[in-house]
Amino acid sequence: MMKPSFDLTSGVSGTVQDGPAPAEVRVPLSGHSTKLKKKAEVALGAKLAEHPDPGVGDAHSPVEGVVTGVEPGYIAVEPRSLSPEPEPAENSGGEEAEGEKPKKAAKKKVEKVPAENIDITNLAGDELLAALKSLGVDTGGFSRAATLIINGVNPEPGVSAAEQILKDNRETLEKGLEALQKIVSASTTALAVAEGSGASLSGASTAYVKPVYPNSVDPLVIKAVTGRETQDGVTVVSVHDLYAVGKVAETGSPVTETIITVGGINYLLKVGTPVADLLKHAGLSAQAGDRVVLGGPMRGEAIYSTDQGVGKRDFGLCVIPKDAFPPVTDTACLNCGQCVQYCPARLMPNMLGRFAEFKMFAKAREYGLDACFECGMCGYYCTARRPLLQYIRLAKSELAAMEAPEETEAPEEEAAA
Amino acid sequence: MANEEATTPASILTVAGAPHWHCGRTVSGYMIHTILALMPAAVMAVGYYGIDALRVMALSCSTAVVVEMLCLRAMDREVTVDDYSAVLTGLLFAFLLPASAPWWLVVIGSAVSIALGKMLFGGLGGNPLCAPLVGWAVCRISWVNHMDIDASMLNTEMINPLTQLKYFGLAAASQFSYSDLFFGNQLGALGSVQIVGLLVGGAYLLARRQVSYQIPAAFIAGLLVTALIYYWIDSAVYAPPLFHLLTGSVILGAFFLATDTATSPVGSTAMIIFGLLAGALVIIVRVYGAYPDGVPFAILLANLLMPLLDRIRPKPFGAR
Repeated sequence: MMKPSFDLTSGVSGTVQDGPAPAEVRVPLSGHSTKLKKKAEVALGAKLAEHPDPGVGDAHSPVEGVVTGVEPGYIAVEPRSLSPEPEPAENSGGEEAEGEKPKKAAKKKVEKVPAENIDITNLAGDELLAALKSLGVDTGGFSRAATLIINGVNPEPGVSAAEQILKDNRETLEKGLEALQKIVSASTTALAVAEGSGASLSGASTAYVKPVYPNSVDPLVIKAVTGRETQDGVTVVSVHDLYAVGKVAETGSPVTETIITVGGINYLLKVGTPVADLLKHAGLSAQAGDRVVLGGPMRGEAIYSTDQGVGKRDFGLCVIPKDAFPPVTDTACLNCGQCVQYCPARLMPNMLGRFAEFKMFAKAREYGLDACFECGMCGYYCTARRPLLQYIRLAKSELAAMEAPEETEAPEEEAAA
Repeated sequence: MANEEATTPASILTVAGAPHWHCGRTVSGYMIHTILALMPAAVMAVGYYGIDALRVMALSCSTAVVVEMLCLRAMDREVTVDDYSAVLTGLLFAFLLPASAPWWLVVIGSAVSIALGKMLFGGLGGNPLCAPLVGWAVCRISWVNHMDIDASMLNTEMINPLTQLKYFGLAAASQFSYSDLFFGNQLGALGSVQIVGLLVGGAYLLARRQVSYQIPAAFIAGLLVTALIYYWIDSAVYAPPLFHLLTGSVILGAFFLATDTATSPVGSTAMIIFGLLAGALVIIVRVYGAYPDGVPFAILLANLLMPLLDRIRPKPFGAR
């Protein structure tokens, strides 16, 4: 059985390696809407799809090529060098044909303008937000706050992308920080890094965090930096996201690359690189029954097919062998108390799991469900092997679903009355 | 999509929720290690009481497993005796019996421990009272003479220090040296007097972090402090604290009975209060009660308080 370690230091010394050159990229979509059809020609950095939520970045093509598939979950683009003269695109409206080729130049122009014209008024902040979103940055977490914390601690065990970015890309990060400040307007800025790290950013003081998971989780980083447990008035941005903002600020091009740690080595990848290609490039393989996890082993998402393309906010990839750990069961809670002992939010995950199991979601809220960071420590230590984090997420989503319709029903009631 | 041929056909991946790592503990692992921790004491018991002890332990464990299987079948549930929790309950119940217990007492007590102490409340994790203690209490009150150690254990020359204390006073109890008590050279229940063996087992559980230190430490502290208070009041009548610690089921109770997962609280402060309370109650029962050894009753009373104690919990992160 694997003996995992929660050590978050990586001692990263190498440089970022190049990722594989995929035969086809599959840019992931999650709720984006697109008007593209197959056989459309896209330039490097062309906008593929827009997201209706202003806080979620649009999707762009990381390669110059031809669209080979449009699915609800992804858009597939096959890299192909296109001839300089723009070829007319088939059927779909004239917008794509005109917009694709000069999109890069147009994007550059569009991007440069907001960056230069940012002043301190709110309006400019929204324009910057809109421009960042249009260039693929997820701006949902960038809210105005008195304190801005850049989370530079490696987010999960086995992931060293954060330290790598801090080591190699200081200038890009500082540009990103400048741009971010125009949105957040924080009076206090801090960079949280692992103890013993020599990284720093100009414009931010440095705070040190003990590099043991779950200390890299945002609420605990806030507590380490500000000394308080409240998240009001604090915005936390990971270095991964700051790097994306920085790249956008530097080049004016949209987000088309990401840095992912696989097997201890950091790779620079095009967004949409199929996981299968990445696994092969890194020398790993996934057998039947294994878990392939995008993100970290504690909070990451297990994917169902290695055909999936990596997303722009993914920072890690790992393969967990089938029999590495005891299987999840629906055994009743023993009340052994291990989860209570290790929960960093001082909750009782055993009770939360039991309430969720029996659909007593309101009671779960009474026991502090909303304070949960979803770090996964409870599920890790559960002796009965209960899916505690899943139960907690179920309770949270059920409560959200129960509360959401109430907001739309109330006006109807008033109208009827 | 045409892309599907790119997937290796055999790679059906497991898609499960986070976290994807686990510490490796399982229920059966937990039970096995607890049984392992009881082995030194079991070996000592066989050393002192001979084949009788082995008979009682084996009968108790097998009855527990069979009764649990029957109960689960009757409840129309999956039979989970392979998690060894029934074996553990049976073994702990055996430790509380006199070594000369007749077969019917062992069978009835073990069956009651499982059926009444655990299964009736829904199985593992659902019982409000420590299961072996339920069986012990039912037997102790129903068949007083058979459960009375001195009345039933007539084939040994060892003496029960607690009955000496209760009926003949402190002078009679002083004949025991602490090393005698420590090495199990005293008459008592089958396994609970094998002090050194139980301490080794308890240390093993603590080292494996299977048992948190709070309950055993608080139990022993509560017991010692209460005994000390009585000793100060009148040292001619009340026994010294160390005497109380090394006799009866105290060490068994501290490490194996009070720490039963379903019946002990989970919060750190709650565990300490639970332990202190149970430890103090042991002395109270020993001094004022009708029974020489108060440990099972003290733990049962503390178990009843457990839900209330679990309300003592810190405010969640970020709450005011």
